[in-house]
Amino acid sequence: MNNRIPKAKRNKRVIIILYLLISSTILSACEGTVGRREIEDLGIVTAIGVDYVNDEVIVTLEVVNPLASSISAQASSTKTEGQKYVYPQGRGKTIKDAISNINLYFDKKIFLSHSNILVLGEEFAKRGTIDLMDFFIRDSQPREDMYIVVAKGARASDIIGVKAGLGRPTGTYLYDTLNNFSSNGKSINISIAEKYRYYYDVSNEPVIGLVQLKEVVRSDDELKKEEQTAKVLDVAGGAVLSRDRLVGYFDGDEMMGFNFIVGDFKRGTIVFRTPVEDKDKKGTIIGADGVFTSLDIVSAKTKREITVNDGKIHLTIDVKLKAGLNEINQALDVIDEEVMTRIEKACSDKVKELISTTLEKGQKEFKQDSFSIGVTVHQQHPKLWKEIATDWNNIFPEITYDVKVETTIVKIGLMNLPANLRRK
Amino acid sequence: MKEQVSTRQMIYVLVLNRIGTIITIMSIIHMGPGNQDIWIMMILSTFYCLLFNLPFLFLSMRFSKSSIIGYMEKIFGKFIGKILGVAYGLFFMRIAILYYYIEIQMIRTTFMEELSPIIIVTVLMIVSIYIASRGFEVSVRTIEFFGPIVIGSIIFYIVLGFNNIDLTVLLPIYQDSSLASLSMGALEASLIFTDPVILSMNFPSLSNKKDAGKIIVISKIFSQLIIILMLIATQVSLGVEQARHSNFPFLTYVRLVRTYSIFERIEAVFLITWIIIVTTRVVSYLYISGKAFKEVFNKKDIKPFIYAVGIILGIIIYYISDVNPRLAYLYGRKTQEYYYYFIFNIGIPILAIITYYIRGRDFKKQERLGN
Repeated sequence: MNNRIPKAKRNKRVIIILYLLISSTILSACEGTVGRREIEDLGIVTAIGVDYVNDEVIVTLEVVNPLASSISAQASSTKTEGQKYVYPQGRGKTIKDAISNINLYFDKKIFLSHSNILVLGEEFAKRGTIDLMDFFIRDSQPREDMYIVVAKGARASDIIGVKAGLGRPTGTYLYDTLNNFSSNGKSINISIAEKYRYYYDVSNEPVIGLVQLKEVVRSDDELKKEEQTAKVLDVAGGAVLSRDRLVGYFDGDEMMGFNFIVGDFKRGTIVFRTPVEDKDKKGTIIGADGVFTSLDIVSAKTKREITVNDGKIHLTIDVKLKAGLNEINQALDVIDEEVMTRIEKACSDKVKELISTTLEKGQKEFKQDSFSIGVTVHQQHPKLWKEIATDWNNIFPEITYDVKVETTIVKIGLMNLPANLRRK
Repeated sequence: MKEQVSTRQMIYVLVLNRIGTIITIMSIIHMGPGNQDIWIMMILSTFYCLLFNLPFLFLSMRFSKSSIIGYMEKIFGKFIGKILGVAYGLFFMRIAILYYYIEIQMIRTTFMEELSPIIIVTVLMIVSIYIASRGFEVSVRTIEFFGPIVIGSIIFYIVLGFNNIDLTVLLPIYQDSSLASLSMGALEASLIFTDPVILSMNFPSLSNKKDAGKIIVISKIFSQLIIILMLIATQVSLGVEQARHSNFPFLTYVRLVRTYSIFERIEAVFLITWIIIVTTRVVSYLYISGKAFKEVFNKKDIKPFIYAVGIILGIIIYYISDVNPRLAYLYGRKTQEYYYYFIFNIGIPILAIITYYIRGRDFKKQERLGN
């Protein structure tokens, strides 16, 4: 049998292979018009800070130096050569202008795709951000899932460069800290895409994450006196926007209330005063008696219901919690069913208080709906919504509400009775 | 050798064609009420799509050995038939231009920002001309191979974005829209698909022509299901209004996927899926426009027509991509587009059916004479 490929067919194959080789070479390797990106030519950005000062945009970037690991600090000829991260800053009329201006003195081409954090300076956030934020959703390099935070009481440039989490860059440190949101409930991690999703809801005013500089004591004997305090970034709380302007903040506890209201509370610790009625009911105190109890919320479900009576809107927030007993300072017999019920009730009361305080602040202080309650009215009473949608921010402060919380303790930890109580 | 296309292959061709219409700019989110009820509109549009396919199906079954150009000549006579043939050829070229333009825009905006359009156009045109010149059978075999991979990938992307999904975005259901607005939107949505034309142009190659009805029903229902899933995933993760502001909503949805720190930044993978879909789609238009001109000029070889059409398309696409861009036309609302689609998808075939019945005696006589 003749296995030889006919000449014409062979020629065609050669042409196809040549074509594939040439086109792949053109697409992947050629310089100039093709847009080649080599890692050593890029300034990979891990965090972006934006400030607005004297009618000028200031962009501060945290850029990774990929060659730093291969050049030790001693071997490097310049100071920046051995640094893992550098912080170039650019000024301009727009964000793009400011970033482009960085490249007038910074040798690496700025590459924004790896940035997970966008920090807005407080002044810039108060001014309103929507016009200048366009770059971050129009350009393909910045990612829509990048977290957006406001620097409380500071400029973004003060935040970028703070490395408190095991010496990692601000971007990674802040990103991971914000991701702890699911285990503390005192903050919020909102991406650019989520922020815009809320922004486009006419009835809803977005709440985004915040970051503030704090000083903490470092307990390390080997440190010099001036090194014994360190700057850290604290993400407790939330920045309240009116459309795109910063109007105030929720603190950490208020953010817990906020997260319960909007149904985003994943996990977290509720600390409340232990009910005193059952104190030393069955046991004997053998140690100091404390005041607080901590419950770890393992799951939280929020249901919101809108009722309309005589044209007045009433909101019912129904929260169902499952919790684990995490810490009890008081000498209580926690294996007694009645005691357990009282602890559950005390926890529910605390959550009610958190929710009410936050809702009150939204209604009385900010006078705007930051909780998507308008969205709930729209979903549950679409006909009514058509009539009131445009006037919602005037109606929201007047709505009445009640909060129902039901806590169920599902685990009590490794101990039954606390150590300050003798078991009979 | 006569080309043969199986039922299964044709279903894949039509399904990918319909998905390709939606996947890039997702024009359906602007149609009808343009709100959270678009998925209802798309369910409604399935019935319109089936209904609008009937005229072409009827004509194809009557003239099973001819494509659109062939039976138009038989029904309207040589002169008008040829004019209609040229019109259909131009119509397919126009769609090809539009979709190549969209493809180039997406590549330039998102994946290869600095790549010169002349290189994109050249590479795309050479690839498309090569595939189309190999014949329809080769194209459908390729589509049959890639079809399940592409469909599986789309479902995979939708599943991966589960943590961004908030189904309450779809509430309230059917409260902010009227039946009239949903019907109008469904009508618009059913007009933008050109699968009836593709089926009719390639009907003579179909190995089992009795399966035509089955092909239409399965391809429409299956593709609508995938389109609705893509639509819902995009709307519930971006929100209704943000999705409307996005030029490439499904790409934005894919860019948001971040699941367990393993599946993130997967748009490079999506790019492969997307390129397969849009390339198969534009190649099919290049092929059928070449075929239309081949039949108009009564030639046996399709290749010269594909080369000619391909080169003309390349020049026009480069012109509108880089020399004289038509961005407002691409992303804006295009009412006149619906007229074109209506005329070529429904108007002309209905007119042909009416003429066919008016000239019924002639056809019966021709049939008796064995012509």
